[in-house]
Amino acid sequence: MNIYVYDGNFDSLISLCAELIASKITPENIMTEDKSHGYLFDKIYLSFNQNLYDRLNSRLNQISKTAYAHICAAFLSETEGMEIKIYNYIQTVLRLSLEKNISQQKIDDYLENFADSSIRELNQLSKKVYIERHRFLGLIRFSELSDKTLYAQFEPDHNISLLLAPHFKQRLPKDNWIIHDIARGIGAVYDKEKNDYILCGLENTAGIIYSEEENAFRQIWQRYWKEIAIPERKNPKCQLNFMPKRYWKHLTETENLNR
Amino acid sequence: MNSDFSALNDKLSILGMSAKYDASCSSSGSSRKNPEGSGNAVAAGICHSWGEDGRCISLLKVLQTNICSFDCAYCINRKSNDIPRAVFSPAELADLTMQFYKRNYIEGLFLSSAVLKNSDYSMELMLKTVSLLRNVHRFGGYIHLKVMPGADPLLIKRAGFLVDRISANIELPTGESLSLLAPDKKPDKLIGSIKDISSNIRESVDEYRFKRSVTYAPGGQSTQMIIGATPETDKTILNLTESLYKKLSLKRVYYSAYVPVTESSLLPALTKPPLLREHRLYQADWLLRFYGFKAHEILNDEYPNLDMRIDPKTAWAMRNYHLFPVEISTAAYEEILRIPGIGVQSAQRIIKARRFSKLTFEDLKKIGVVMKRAKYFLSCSGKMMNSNFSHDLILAEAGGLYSEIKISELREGQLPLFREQSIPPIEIAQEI
Repeated sequence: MNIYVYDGNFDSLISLCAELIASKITPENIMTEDKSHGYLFDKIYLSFNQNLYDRLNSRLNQISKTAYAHICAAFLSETEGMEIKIYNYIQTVLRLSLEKNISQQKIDDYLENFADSSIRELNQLSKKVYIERHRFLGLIRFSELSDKTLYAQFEPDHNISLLLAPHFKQRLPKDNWIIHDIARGIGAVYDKEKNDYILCGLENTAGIIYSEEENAFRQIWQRYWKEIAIPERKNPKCQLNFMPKRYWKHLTETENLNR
Repeated sequence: MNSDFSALNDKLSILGMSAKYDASCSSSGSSRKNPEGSGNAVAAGICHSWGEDGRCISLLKVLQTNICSFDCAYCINRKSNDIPRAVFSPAELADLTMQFYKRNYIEGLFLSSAVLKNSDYSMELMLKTVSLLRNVHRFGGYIHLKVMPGADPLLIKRAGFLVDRISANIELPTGESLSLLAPDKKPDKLIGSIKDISSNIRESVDEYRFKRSVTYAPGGQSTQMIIGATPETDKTILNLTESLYKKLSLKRVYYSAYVPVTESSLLPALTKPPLLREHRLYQADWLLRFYGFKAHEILNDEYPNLDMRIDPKTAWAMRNYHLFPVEISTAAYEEILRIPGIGVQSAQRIIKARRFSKLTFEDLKKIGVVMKRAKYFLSCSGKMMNSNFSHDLILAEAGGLYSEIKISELREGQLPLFREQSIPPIEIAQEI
């Protein structure tokens, strides 16, 4: 049994994978310290190796930008067991790139070969993350604060703030806005003067003051939302399928309906 | 809420209620950039919420006014109907759109209208709203504009340059039905508007070479028709749909199950809208657009209506069993796409994966093929999943799929067996 423990950072995971691959070690599992409490023995800690990290990082980018993006997305899924899936995937990608006379086209095609379990499993993870990101492009709800800042709270399953921020930067460049992942205590804060955002730790915000008009627009939207449904076509199952209950808490239109 | 807001609240309620029977809510097809103001469009479209009917809410779907001089029998806003009436001033509606948009409630505006005074007058009002949004608010988000029946072609031309998608309703599948139920609307004028839009778009696409951007309705043209209010067969509807796609290059044709909003001797006495029929038509529409089917393959004189018990692709495959089983390791993409239980994504994955290894039934399952249905119609390296299948047995078993569908499910229009291919009543915009 050999369980490799890392500090939860993406860079550390890449460094660890590089080291394992370089020394031809197949790990039983890879996890963060807090998840490894159940294991008393056989825990192995490797320190961050800048040189190996740099080499693997640039190598992966060189082989396929898409593959690299999938790895990042899978990491952001924060699901249990994603580390070993990333390790397996990196191995597949590297092995593929070392094949004799392999063309870029063939590499790209193989990376979509879902009959290969390492590829399928990683893609399933990244897909989950992309789907949730796409959902929240629509489900983020801003409230206007007294200083006109647009402020949104949400609690996504995956760590998607970084993936959402570029979209809102493009969409709302003339407003200051904050998207606040209150489950993780982080957020993206956009400053219209600088035309840029930062990702940072955010405390739970007590004493938020909304703008004078905010409540009126909330009510207008809530009523519109309720009335736009056609009663003869009522289909709550379909509604929940697209908009699961766990998201309702932070949606303006459902804030009063959520039990 | 102060009285101004309270009045706005009531007005939106009235004009939202009057707009809600419009089927389309799509916000896809445009990727408008906007360096100067707020708002952009995302090619894949984004849904923002879902109502209790399960339909997605992407755009603020609203009428400029519901005061109407027409009296179309199927329409909630016909002048003889006793409902509250209101008009949005262009400034009022533009402001409201911006307020909703910046809170990320919506992806943009879907603006339609009843016919106040005449078509051109209403159309001018709508254009004022849209032009305020674009030129004063510098709004770059999605706008879908409904063209008024028989509006001046010059107004239609102006409109297209301001919006992302434009649509003119064909309303009913045949001219006879239209004359019967909507005597104020002239069939040739409705088709005329659709043709005008189509040629405006074509011109704009031709100019693309010089300008590098499509400026006239980059999200294309759509239309909608009401299903079940008049006696047309599905074959008539599907043939019409096909020619709208082929000859006039429409992006989407929407079907709207007739909801009895009124009692009229001209209309069928329905208790429930024909949702399952609408659903089957959308499935057939998908086959035309993404699966390379021709309308005459799906329906013909022998089978003029879609089978309510089974999806149109499976129905076609069972009638054409001599074309099966399709061999996964050698068949062309187009053939694989026609296997029931295999969608566009699975078909593409099969093509990619089979270059690297021989695919097994297990692989197909993992790739995403719905084997429960597909197994009757495919073979892997010459073998079918159960070698004892005989032609008759397969037909009998596949036929057995029918009996698994309970009557109650038919009523609800939800068929668990065929979920993979099932199309939700309203287009879902999906990036991935």
